[in-house]
Amino acid sequence: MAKELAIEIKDLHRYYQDIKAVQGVSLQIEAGTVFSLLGPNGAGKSTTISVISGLLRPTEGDAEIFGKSIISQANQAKQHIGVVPQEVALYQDLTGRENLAFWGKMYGLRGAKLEARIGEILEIIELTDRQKDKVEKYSGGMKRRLNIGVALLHQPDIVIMDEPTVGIDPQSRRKILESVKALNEQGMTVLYTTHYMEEAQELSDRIAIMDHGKVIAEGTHNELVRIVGELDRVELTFGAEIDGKLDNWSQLPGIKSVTTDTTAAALLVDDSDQALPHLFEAAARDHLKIISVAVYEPNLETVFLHLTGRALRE
Amino acid sequence: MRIYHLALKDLKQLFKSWQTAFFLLLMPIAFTLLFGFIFGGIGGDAEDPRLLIGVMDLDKSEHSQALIQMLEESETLRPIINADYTAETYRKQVEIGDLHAALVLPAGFGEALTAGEPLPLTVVADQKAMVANQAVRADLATIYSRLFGIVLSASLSQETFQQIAALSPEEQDAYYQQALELASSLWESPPVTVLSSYTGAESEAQADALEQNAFIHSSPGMMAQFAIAGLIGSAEILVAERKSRALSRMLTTGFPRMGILVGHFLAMSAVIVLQLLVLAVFGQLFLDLPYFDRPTATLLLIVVSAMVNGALGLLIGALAKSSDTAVVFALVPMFVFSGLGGAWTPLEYTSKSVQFVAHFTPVAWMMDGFKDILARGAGLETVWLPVVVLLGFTALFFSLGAWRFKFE
Amino acid sequence: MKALDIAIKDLRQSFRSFFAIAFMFVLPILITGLFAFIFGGGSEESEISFEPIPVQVYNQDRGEFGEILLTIWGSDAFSDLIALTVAEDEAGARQAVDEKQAEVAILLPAEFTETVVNPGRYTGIELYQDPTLTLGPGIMKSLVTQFVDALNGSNITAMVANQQAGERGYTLTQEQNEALSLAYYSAVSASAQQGTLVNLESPGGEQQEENAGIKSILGFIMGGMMIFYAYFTGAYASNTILTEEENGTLERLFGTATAPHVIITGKLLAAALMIFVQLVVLTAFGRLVFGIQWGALGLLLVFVLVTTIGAASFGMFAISLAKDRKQAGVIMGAGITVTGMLGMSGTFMLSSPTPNAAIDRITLLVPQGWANRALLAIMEGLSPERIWLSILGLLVYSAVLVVLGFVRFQKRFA
Repeated sequence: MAKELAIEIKDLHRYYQDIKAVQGVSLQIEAGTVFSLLGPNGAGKSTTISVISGLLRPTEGDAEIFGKSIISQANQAKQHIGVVPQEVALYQDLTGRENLAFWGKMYGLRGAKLEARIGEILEIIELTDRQKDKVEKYSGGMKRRLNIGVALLHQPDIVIMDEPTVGIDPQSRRKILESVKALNEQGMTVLYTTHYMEEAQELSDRIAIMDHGKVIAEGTHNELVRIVGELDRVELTFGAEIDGKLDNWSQLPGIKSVTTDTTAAALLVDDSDQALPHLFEAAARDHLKIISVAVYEPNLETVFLHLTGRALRE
Repeated sequence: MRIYHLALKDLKQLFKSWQTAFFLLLMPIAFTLLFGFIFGGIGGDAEDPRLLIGVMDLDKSEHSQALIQMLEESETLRPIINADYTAETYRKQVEIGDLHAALVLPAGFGEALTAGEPLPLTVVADQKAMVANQAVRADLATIYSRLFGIVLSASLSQETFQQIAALSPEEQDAYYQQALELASSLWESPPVTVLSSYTGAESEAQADALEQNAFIHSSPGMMAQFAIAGLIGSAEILVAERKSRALSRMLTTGFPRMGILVGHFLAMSAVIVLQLLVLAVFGQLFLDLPYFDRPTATLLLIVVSAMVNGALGLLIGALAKSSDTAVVFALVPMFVFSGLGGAWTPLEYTSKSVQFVAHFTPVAWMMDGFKDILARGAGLETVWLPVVVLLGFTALFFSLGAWRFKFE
Repeated sequence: MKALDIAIKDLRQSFRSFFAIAFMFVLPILITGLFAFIFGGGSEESEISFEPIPVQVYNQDRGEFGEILLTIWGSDAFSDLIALTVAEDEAGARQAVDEKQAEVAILLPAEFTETVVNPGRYTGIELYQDPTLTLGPGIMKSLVTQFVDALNGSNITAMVANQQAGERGYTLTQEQNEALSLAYYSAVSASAQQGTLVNLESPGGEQQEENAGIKSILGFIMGGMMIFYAYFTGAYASNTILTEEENGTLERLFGTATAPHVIITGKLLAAALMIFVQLVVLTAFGRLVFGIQWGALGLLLVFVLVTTIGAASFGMFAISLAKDRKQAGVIMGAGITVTGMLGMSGTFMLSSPTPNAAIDRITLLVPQGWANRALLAIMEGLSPERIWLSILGLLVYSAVLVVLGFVRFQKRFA
């Protein structure tokens, strides 16, 4: 028997005047899973999330949250969601506790239930000791945690997190990733956007890769990696500018694709052990000095490169 | 040279936003006009600027008519009579501002006057117009006492004659009437007249123009006030520079701290020089104010006034931690200096001790200087004192600003 | 309920903000205090205190009237009003005015007494004054006129009596002429003893003191300031919509299934609560500290409520015109200042010698003008018609603005 669908996105389009931010995205996210949207900046992840959270109306298409349309049954749909915005969206001049109390009320909590929830959330985000301090006095990591805590107040079935780890220290990042896992273990569905493939890989049951407003691949980590087969990724750095000298390298034996930067290149190859000698030879022929070589086993980065011809972080 | 570049950068930042133009120029011009309007300089009846006083004559005697006739000839009041109006209608008219005041001449007015016991008159006037009401009171009192004098002259003349010769009742009446006419015609040019003349006014026409120009006070007042308001933008630039760490970065370039202060000070002063110049030219062209009859004095005063405000801006920028506080820190001195320094209400309406305290604000000295130039036609020989004092204020504000300026 | 939660949260934030407190309470009290000081001169008295007017008199008069005038003005009765200096020569008297040592120089001509006692002669007294001043010279002019008019009147009486008697073939004796003068002076001074001939009353029927009490002036000023800053608070409160938009909390609010109209209502409610608190604190402060008489308490309460609504609506409308916080800053700094000052320009009539009556109507272009009109009408005890019309006008104006503001924000967040 198929699992219940937490989120179903149906042929979603969203345009800003001439810019087509999202074009025909369709996804099904099962309840109780962690689902990641992976893609570079500007791929359309945040727009997709904004539509699902009911903040933007789709130009075309619809999204359903546990069967409730985000267009026609917005309020019922929103009851299931807790959104963690990318930027810290809190009142800096109120204390942590005051923030939680206010947002709790906005989610419709009142009285003893609200008080109890605030206490629980403060424990979860480890801010019990600092609850009476104004948010403006918190560190970046503490603000991020509170930012997440607010979204959990009403015990939503789905937590939507928009790049929650951007610009924070490794320790805080680790805490956030752990909390995502913990939430999922409690049965929450998590929709997570990131442009860090390691995060997507570590957390997700399923991943959708987005680029230019479209989903270009979707599946479990293993399914996605299989798209590129057994291809290895080789990254070369040169001592001088490449200047188009690599144009014919894709014809070399075992080389599947070549993408270049001014002084660096990324290549997908059948087997790196066999390909590397050919590469060194070609470099010597073209008078290019290789400064560094790195070889990677197939991963999401490789998949993105394979599908788009660009690196994820370009 | 680096100071100059820094000042130029500040100016560029300022003039990129259209609000600068708004605060620096449009607002003060709008307010100069508004104040001129309130003060009756524009929009009123240019032909006849007299205050309108509704008169209701319940007495309908020759004396009440004579009083109305004298009001017609007044320089301050212009009687308005409407047969359809009741006392209540007149009161309403005052309430809604169609009439400045209303006067009821009660029944028995003439008789009481003849009996030598003039009845006190009640004038209904808008309480707010305090200064104008004093004029109404004074003018009406003068007219009324002159009328009383005329009636008195006639009675006394008649009584004296009756001591010499007997008059029949008809003759008495005719004698009295003749006396009234004679006395009123003699009052038209009384033996001793009181004439006004003014310092610096070479002709009577010039004196009249001065007396009637409602902008002599409001124009420099608004210049003084908005020169401080203009600091808001400049002070915000300073705050933003510190917050964005551009200031720290500037220090790493080996630019001396004093140079940074002077650069900002120059930029702020330059903006205000421009503002004051535009306002003075506006005053000269559109408000008939002789700002540039003595250009050296005016220009000098403008430059030092701008310097005071530039230094004040530096102080505000030094003290303010955020752009919100910069606004408050600029508005507080704006209100305190303008209010106390006499930009809103002439200091002559205040006591000597207030005037003394007022001169601890730069605005009072700016006002003194500009009003001397505008009203008295004064030049450098008079303006040097405000200039020196304003330079002192500049030094004070600059030192305080430099002392409190947090570079890190 | 959610709207109220938003309002309470906003209040909490505002009362923690230095900026908001400064604009809501500190500035209006500061400015009123400033005027209390300016007009009260720091004294406890409730009347405006004036310093004696520095006056130079150059007396060339060959007769006794010049001396009499100097004696009167030099007497104790006038010491509070006039600081008299008798000048050695005309140039000295004029120089004192030129150098601001004196506000006015009074030049009594040599033939002063001769003109007064001999019918048919004419002369003039020159008042040489500082053109930057109006008050002191004005008072002196009316004092001189009063004195001279008594002399003129006596002289004219003599001329009339002599001419009329002459026309009938009689000549008045020296005694008769002297008796005439005496009779004239005693009648004039008897009427002067009766008190002032002209009393001023406000349209509401209140007596106006000769020197309008400092408290009524302060009332006008503080009333004007209160309204000015109440409208500022309205804009400040609505501006938090834009602040929240910029900080991302507004989007998050929408994410909590809170409808835009609830949020806007919450903001409006916050504005109203802030303004209400502000007006209550300021009126109470004005009454207790400055002794201002605000008029009938019931009407004052109506005014406070209606102005609260008015200022909250205007703020919402004004901020709905702004795209971002920067524009809102200009609207608050310039728009509220211009409309506010226009609205309270009736108050500036205080010190105008020729106030423009039309200003009363021009102020009605802005809602602050209606509020000012209502408050002044209540303070001056004007007709119920004027009070209620002003209040109704403000309500209608506010209703239009709040609808416009609401619709604009609704559209924006739809």
